[in-house]
Amino acid sequence: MVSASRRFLPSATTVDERLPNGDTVLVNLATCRSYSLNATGTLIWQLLDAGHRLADLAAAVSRQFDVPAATAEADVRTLLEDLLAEGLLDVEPD
Amino acid sequence: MTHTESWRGVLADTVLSVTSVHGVERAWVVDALRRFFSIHADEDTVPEQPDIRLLLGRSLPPGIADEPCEEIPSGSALRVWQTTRGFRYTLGASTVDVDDHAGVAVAQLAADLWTGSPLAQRGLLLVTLLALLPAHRRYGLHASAVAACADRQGNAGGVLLVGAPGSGKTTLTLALVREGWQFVADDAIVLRPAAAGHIDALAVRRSLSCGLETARQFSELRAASDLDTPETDGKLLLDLDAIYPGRSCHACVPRLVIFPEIGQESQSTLLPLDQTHAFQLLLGQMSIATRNRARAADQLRTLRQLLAQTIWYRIQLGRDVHSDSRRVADLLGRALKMAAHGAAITGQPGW
Repeated sequence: MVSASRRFLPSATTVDERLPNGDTVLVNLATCRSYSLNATGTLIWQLLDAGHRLADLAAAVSRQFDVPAATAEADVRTLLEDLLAEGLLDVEPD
Repeated sequence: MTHTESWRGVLADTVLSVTSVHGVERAWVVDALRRFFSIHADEDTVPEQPDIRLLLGRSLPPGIADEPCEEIPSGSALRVWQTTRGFRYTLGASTVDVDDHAGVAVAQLAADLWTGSPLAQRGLLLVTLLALLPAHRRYGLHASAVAACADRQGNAGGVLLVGAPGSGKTTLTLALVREGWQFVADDAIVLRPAAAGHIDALAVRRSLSCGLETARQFSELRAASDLDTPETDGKLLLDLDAIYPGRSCHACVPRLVIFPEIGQESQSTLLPLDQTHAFQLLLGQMSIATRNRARAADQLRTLRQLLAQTIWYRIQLGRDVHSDSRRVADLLGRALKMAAHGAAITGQPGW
């Protein structure tokens, strides 16, 4: 479960590259697997990299893509859970 | 008393030195390097200071030989091991240990390698060179490369053919060279971020390896080689410079990236591909530096820059790649012209 109060940061084994088309590609160096993020995912990834928490991410997605706040938060939670499960994100220690 | 001999050559714009200790056969290695790879070795012009080094000895030094390592399954006789400093490759009784940060390889090459298959010799040397080159921002890509003839303005565009074994890279390469395009490299190139900001593709291999069935489709190859006695594993090693004199060059600036696949139709067709998919396909053909985050990030930047300077397509190869190579060359020539004008084709091309 993704906690609203925690911060999440790209893991030490993740490298990312923003493509000219606006998508972002992530590579987990520990597993050699690669992933792509669309415009929404890229926005979330950039905010995560800057140290923002769940509420900031959801607000930004709601504002940028004109979706209801509850929908944005659910979508952000889903992406964070996926990124954590793939080892691309770490939870910032207390 | 230790006796050493050294030789230097330029590979992918990088100075490689080969040093043998205690009289270990240096001549064989140098001969193999010159035979198989795109190496310039004019003693008067090669700089004295090496960038990457290959040290030949009768055995690996104790500190290296005893180092713990973990095998990376390769599925071939050429076994690959991860060490704390880089990679170790073993083939039969031969071992090469590469420090990929320092750009130094230490090799103990056994006599059975020298008397064995040329393809095996080339394979061991190739993985060694590709592991050494990233120390100088040269990143290997599993791809072939050709270049179109220069137009009236002198612009010659490079084309990378990228794909897994069996995708048709070699067939397409041969079809284009037959039509007068320049051969740059077969199956392995090095990407180099150039000072001007673009990415160069540099040749690594000099020879082209080709399956018998592919070779039989090209009459000029039938004439130039003995197809009844393949080198090994049903593959031939061909010197394209001898078969198509004057149609080889050592580098190109890629403007077009093609991902070939074997199709069933009579005519070859270009199909559009989105940029993210193209990036991931390129990534799948590059060995990423998993233990060196900064280098891995630089590799990704290099691929992004490559996509920024090119346009890219899948090509479904039809039977015309053998029967009407002129048509296939024209198809890619038109795509290359559009790339030169910064235009990408969207939708199904009507060619």
